[in-house]
Amino acid sequence: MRTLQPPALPDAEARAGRMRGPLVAELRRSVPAPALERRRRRTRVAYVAAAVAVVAATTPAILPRDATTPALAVERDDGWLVLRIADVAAGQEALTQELRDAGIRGEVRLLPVQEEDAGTWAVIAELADPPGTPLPPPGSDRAQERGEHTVRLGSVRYERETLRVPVAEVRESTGYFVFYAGREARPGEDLWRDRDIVFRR
Amino acid sequence: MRADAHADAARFERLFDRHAAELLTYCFRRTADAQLAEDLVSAVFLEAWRRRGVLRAEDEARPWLYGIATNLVRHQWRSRRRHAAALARMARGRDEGEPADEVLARQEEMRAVLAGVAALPRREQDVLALCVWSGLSYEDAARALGLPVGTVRSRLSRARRRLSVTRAGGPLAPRPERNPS
Repeated sequence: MRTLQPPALPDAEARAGRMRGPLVAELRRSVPAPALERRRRRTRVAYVAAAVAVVAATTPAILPRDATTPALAVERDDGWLVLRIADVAAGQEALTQELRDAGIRGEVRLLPVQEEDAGTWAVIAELADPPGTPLPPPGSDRAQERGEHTVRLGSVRYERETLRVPVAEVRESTGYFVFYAGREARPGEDLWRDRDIVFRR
Repeated sequence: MRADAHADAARFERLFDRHAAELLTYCFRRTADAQLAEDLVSAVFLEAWRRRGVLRAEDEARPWLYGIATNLVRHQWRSRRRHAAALARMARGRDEGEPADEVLARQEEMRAVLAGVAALPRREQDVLALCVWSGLSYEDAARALGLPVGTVRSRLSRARRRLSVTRAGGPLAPRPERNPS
């Protein structure tokens, strides 16, 4: 019969003791030289000033979020970009920004879902152009390009927790991805259903 | 400046002495792998060292370190890759023995426990592991996860409710739990 209290790691203290020497050596090894450290400190001040401005402009003040923690976990895996929602509370603007930082042309939108589905991918789409882009004149090269080169959706591997996007597709596609993820519905808010998604130009 | 950096290193040695063993147990319980837990705890302190500028007071260190550990556990592959060179150097510097039977048995036992809570959403597993398994207060768990205290409470409550349902026909036996706060 098992319980909620799991087993402890045997000899945790002894293990920590064995780890201590190499770790301390590694920390001391990474202590920067004085000039470099000063330069880094100045750079850090500049980064902090820039980051504060960006965060103030893009993040709702009510979210107590650690800015060093990514909202969108992006990993490269053998020619694939693997995307996972790490912090859905960061909001769709932050998730979109991190998607674009990863080099993917598109955006993340959040849909109201049940609590257990929050933070998972709901549906994916690819548009020829970002919403709001004027339609190209019929028969123009641009209109043909839209038909021939933008639909890469079939190569995106979609699972509840992860999206795997081939790096080559990201590089070559002229289309615009829209990745929908769930966020916990507010009290009284209707839950998202498949048919709710309509793309409007 | 260099003196400051060395003072920081001495401060980190104290943090390591105070928290490394409990973080090892935490990472072991999240992964069921003793060797991986050692790598993750090393990565926790390397990451904490890199971000040491944000730590204002040592009494805030425990939830801060648990927060880093939780993130690293969540992204194990990336965490180990980021610190791969340092981890390799540290592993060479450590006197590593063969895994003992007791460790293998505990790993097996832990895998069964993790299988029992696998049905919980990841964020509820985080709260369960921090509050129930590691004994963090609601407030410290909230600091570790960057969440409001109320959210921690409700997630833990939901986790307990789900587990009580799971336990009725599953591998987790009922057990009275103390309030961690």
